[in-house]
Amino acid sequence: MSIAAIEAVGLGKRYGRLGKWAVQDCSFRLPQGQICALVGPNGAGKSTLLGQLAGLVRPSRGELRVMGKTPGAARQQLAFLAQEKPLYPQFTIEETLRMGQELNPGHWDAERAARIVKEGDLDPGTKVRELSGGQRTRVALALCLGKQPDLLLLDEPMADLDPLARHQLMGNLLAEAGESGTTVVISSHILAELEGACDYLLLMENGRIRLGGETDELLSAHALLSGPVTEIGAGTTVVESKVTGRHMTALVRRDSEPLGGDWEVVEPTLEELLLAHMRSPQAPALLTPSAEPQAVRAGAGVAA
Amino acid sequence: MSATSSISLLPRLSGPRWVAAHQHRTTGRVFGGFVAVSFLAVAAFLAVSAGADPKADFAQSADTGMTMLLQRVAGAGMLLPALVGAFVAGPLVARELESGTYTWLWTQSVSPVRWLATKLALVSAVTLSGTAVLVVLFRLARGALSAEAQFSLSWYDTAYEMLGPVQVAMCALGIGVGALVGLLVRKTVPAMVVAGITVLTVAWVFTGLLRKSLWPVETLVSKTPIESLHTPAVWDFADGMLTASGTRVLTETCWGTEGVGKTPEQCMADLGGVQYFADVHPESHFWPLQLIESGLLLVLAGLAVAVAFRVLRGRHAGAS
Repeated sequence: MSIAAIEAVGLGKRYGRLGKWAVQDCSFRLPQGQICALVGPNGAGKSTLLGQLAGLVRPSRGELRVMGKTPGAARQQLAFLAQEKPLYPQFTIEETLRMGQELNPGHWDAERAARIVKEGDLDPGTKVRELSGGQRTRVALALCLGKQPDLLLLDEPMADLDPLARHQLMGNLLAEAGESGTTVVISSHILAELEGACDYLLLMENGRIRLGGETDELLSAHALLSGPVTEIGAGTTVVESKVTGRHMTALVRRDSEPLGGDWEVVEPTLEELLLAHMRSPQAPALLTPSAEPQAVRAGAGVAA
Repeated sequence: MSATSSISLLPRLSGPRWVAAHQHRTTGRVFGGFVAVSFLAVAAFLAVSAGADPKADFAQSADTGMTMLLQRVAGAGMLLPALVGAFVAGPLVARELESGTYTWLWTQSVSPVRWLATKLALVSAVTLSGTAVLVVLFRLARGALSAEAQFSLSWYDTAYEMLGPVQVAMCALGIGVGALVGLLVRKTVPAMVVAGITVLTVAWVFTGLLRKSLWPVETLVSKTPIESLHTPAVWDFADGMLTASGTRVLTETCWGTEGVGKTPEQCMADLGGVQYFADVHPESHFWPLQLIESGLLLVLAGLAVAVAFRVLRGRHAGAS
């Protein structure tokens, strides 16, 4: 099997000795070339996990490989855009891109970075402090993509943009990533932002991964049942069930076919799937085979 | 355009050095400008005092003016290391952490350790060479003053730091403390305040407590009152009389005895004093004192930098 873009086993991060675990028992695998949505409510640990993947936050425990290496060793291959899109306000766009070139000698694609800026109708001489939110995000993305990363980590990149700018930038981003085969992880707490754009999904809650895998496979691994109130077979995992009078709807795993009973069975939408899991903290985690971490090779130390 | 002019001014800088220099180019220019203006002022003063008759009115007012200026410079010189510390702690380090630019900066091909090393190397090169130039200029200007004027810029007091490597070493300490405080405090303004106060405290500990003990004191003994004490050449910090058995009677025990019609000398003689003594550093102790103090300051600066790198490595996974 080829090297995964990300492989995490039992990853944990606690702030301070007595603090709450922001990331806990977090295990998953992300194959290369995927556009992956990292979704979950606010405070689920998404930013901390991305910080660990980027090598900014040292894991308190567990093992982490990014492109088969520790995040520190993979720094040439990854790019990270934090939520605040921090840039130097006193620099012009041109100077900002020059900075990308100076800090990534040998693998900076100046043409690509300039093209992304140009597609936004931006004058390279403009100072960063004069840019709007959308323009700023565009420059920050140009800076990330100019580095030609194999793995691009974006923390809530579109959160503060209007729908038009969001649509444009997302289009740009997906086109660029598709062209170069870059693996992309985009975190968001807004499901609609990512629907349709992402072929891979990680649902994070309370510092753990609750669902992980190809979006299609995750959807087809679940069924939305509706019908008269009945006992659901013992072998079936019920994620969530709701009773309204004598009518009942349930979101279940298709782990024991046939489902039996007198159900009307449909595949849930992505939103139904995610919301059902978020409302039911007791439902067991599910990783598709490609999202199961392989045993991290013996002798490979804790990510540092 | 300012960008192009600074690029042409710094043609050979590339990589993280370019980024750091470009980020702080305004501060660099202000500091460079200050050194250049100092250079011109001292050069003009030296030219005037070499060419003019020392008794002429003009030369005398130049002497007085320069003395007053140098007194202020010596006073302000005490603040320079604290300013350097505040600059390194705040704008150089903590602002990156506070504004979040470190999240981008530290995920580039250049590692965080190299980022910090580059910034510290750059700021050291500029600050330490600039301060060394200021020290040389200060020595030249003071050397051209009249003897009376030099009295008010005594080697062991007002002018001590600005006359030698201690000023440069104190700035190095400012850089080390600034780096450490910036990484620990992580907020621009508080980091600047903490670093500035820390540097001033260390400076005060050296000035007020340690300095005179850094080299063995000479004890002068004489049958007659020691007149040479009250010249700028001697740093006197304890004097009085010795009894026949060698016990010290300090002058301050007899302060205020004029009121009862006794000079301090008579008072000390009444207490058994038979000869005069004074603990002093003669001017020949200037260089040993300066070099030892500079050495200690550099060791402290080195320790602060080492701890700063440990903090950086400890907090951030991919630091090295």
